[in-house]
Amino acid sequence: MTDIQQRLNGLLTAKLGLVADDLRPEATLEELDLDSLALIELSVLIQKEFGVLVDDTALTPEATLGTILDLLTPAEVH
Amino acid sequence: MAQATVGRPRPRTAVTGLGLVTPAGIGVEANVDRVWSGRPTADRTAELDGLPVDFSCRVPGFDPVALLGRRTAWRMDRASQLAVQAARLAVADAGLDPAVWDGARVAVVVGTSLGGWNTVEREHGAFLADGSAMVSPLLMVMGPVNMTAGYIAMDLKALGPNQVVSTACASGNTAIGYARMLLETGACDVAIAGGTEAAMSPTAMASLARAGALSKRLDDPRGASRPFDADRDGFVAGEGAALLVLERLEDARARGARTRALIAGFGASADGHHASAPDPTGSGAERAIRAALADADLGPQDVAHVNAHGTSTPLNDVTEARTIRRVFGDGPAVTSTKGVVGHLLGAAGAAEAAYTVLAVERGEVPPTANLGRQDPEIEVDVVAGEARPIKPLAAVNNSFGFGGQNAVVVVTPA
Repeated sequence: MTDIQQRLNGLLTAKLGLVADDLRPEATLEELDLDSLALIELSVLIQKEFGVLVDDTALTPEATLGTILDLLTPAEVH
Repeated sequence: MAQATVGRPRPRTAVTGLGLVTPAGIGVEANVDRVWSGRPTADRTAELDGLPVDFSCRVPGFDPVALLGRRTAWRMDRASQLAVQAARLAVADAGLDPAVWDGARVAVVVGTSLGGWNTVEREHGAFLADGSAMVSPLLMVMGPVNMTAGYIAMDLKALGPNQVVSTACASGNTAIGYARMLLETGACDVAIAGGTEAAMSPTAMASLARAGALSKRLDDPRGASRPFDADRDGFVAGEGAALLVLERLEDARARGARTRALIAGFGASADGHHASAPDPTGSGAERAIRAALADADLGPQDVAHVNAHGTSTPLNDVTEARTIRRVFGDGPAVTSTKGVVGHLLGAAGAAEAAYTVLAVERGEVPPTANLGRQDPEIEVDVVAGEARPIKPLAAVNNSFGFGGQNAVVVVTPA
């Protein structure tokens, strides 16, 4: 697991209360039971953690954790 | 189900459950232990470091994540978290089971002054520091005052009338009064009513300190809330939630519930005088007390105990004592439980109504903590030192809010 993936998983468990075992890269945000408010909250959390502005429209219910990780390239995150 | 109609006797309102999450502890037993032994709870508060007043009364051992689960807890302001726990405790104390009740017949009326102010302050800080993209979308489901009642409905599937009332420091009593009306009209069969407050954010505390409302006894926080004492210098802010389960007495009896006491009367009024100071004549407070007694069909001579608003501010305590003396003479045993738990603002009336219910049920008035030397201008019989046995005929709970809003509840034995 990459450092970025560990940090993302840390956000999802500590801030949004998800269970670590569920956080497979192919899991969709809908499968993780994140509703619309949680998705916008997630974009705020990602910006605070990584300094990357993720467009709200990229965080759809069908998006997977892998989709988010693709947006968080090592060159962009801090 | 009973429906009130013209010509039918007015139904009486029973208190069948109490849920207390206060600085004195979580649950009825912890509160009785602390409040009836008169041990103050005020202490230094890390979040208030560097402010002109850096102490307050906080709920000990409150763990919202353990209670609600992280996935739910992070969506609620602390005011809602405290309220949900108090509601669960109240319902359990009443012997009711939300898994099987008819939720559409269960009302929720919560009193709060500032609601989710903590969250508003935090997100406003994020907006100023980092711009609009850093503002949480949850602000709009955490900040507004109505959410404190809304989250109780979600947690307990209490699906009847659901509302928040706000009359500053009288909110808790106002909520109980309105919930009783809902029961009398037949709009619900069960009402979960009371108050919650958790607004001791740095900005709110700075404002209260600058307004001169808070005690500045910085070297002695435990002795700071001293209602009716000659050396009192302001109130100590507290957080907490208190909810009561109310039912029509006939319904409570029909299901074999334990009735702790009755809410026999309610009265409300406005001073129409000043934004923060009480009317020095006490006429607004007096009208609320007399209205509550009339509503209960009782006279002043029937009242054995008054749980005073008793904030520990120089102005309130002397004005209130004069009003109590004018209405009741020197008869009733007066106490202010704020000496122990501080001033819970929008939850104060509800916590004190619960303590009044317990005083009537136990036949024992808790002492006013920190009363060393009673202010000679305060000519009422204040219970100090230790709890005092009473014959509980009727008891009165006073609450007066900023803005001059007054609400008074009369409690009688079951």
